[in-house]
Amino acid sequence: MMTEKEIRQALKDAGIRLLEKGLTQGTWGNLSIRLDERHMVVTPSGLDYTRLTPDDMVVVDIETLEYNSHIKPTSEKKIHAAIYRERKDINAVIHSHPLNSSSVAAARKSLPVMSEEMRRLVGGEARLARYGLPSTDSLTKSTIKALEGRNACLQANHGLVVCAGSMDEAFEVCRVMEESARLYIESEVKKILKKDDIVAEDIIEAFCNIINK
Amino acid sequence: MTDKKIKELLFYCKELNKENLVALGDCLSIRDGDGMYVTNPDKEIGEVTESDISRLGFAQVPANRMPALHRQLYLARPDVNAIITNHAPYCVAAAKHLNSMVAVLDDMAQIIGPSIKFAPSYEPKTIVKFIGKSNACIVKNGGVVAVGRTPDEAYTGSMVLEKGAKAYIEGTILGGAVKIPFLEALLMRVIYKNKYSKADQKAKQEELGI
Repeated sequence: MMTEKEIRQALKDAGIRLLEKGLTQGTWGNLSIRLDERHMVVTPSGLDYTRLTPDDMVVVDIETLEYNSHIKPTSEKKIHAAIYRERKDINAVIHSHPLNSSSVAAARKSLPVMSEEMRRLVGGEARLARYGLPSTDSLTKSTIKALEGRNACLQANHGLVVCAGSMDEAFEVCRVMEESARLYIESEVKKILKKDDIVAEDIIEAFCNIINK
Repeated sequence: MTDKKIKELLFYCKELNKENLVALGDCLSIRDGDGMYVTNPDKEIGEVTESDISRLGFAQVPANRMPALHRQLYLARPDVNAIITNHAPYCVAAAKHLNSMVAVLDDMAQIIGPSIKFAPSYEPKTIVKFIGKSNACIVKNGGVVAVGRTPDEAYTGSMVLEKGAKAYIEGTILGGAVKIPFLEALLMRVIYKNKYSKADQKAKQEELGI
């Protein structure tokens, strides 16, 4: 079991890792780690990960969403808390906006199983949570529903939510989701262009084929 | 402060080059009182050094069209403290093949707005008109002009717009990119600008003295 001090530092490190891995841009995306049965520690709202210190992380009650800090926790705390309430096996949550997963989310599609690794880490197809404004109850409910029996889901027009037993595992789920999203996009490009192998420029060519039809 | 501003420009030159968002002719600038520090558009962004950054006063119109465009934007938009002109690949594709592009991702709606306007040319007054009060516009058959309260905001806007263009193009390939309803996109934009990003941007502005 990690101490609160260790969790604060782990969140600071994970925020930097999120940026370095290209899983989010600017102040977007948020992270949390379970502190105990009743509490989670989350990243704050609207602050740049490169500037955050461990002291900026906020302890939040997962039942009441109350917190005792002058720093506001992430506005997506409802989703994090709901996951910890529903899933006792989960100790870390990442909400991010990686490029390929976001493209699938923009098309409002679920992500089919693209590899055995995805099946193992995600638990099957990554469902799509229906569209809702950020930090609303509606988005929280649809995200929890999409996560049933899964470790990841896409949020329509928004991004990706993953959960796992530890932050390291959560990053592995993010990685496999992003790789699978890339494979899914490439498979559609291959179908459109009727090619077995493609290069980056083929994505634009496939797009032009569609819009010029 | 001068040293900090130049370091900030050099930092974002490296970041933009690392992300492959720039081409020869692009440049970055930061407001400095009655003038601006601007990178030399004739130098590849990835190779820009301190000696490639000049201070130009707003009293004179620069001969090169890019610094001239930056000057005009600073004069028209007192809220803008940094400008990036770039050639992000998916935005360039959108500039070539589309005439309009709506936000299909929340972060684009928040930083850029419900849609991105396409200006017909880089002519400074045209860009000022098309960018309006927003943070960016795409130039038809060209690239992107992104502005911000800080270099960080102009850079994030460039990244988010490129991601929005990628999602629009790839979402279309996957069966159709779905636009965010206009009023919801507008609401997110207002909340981002006036609430969500305010403290972060204010702290960054104070650090740079802009």
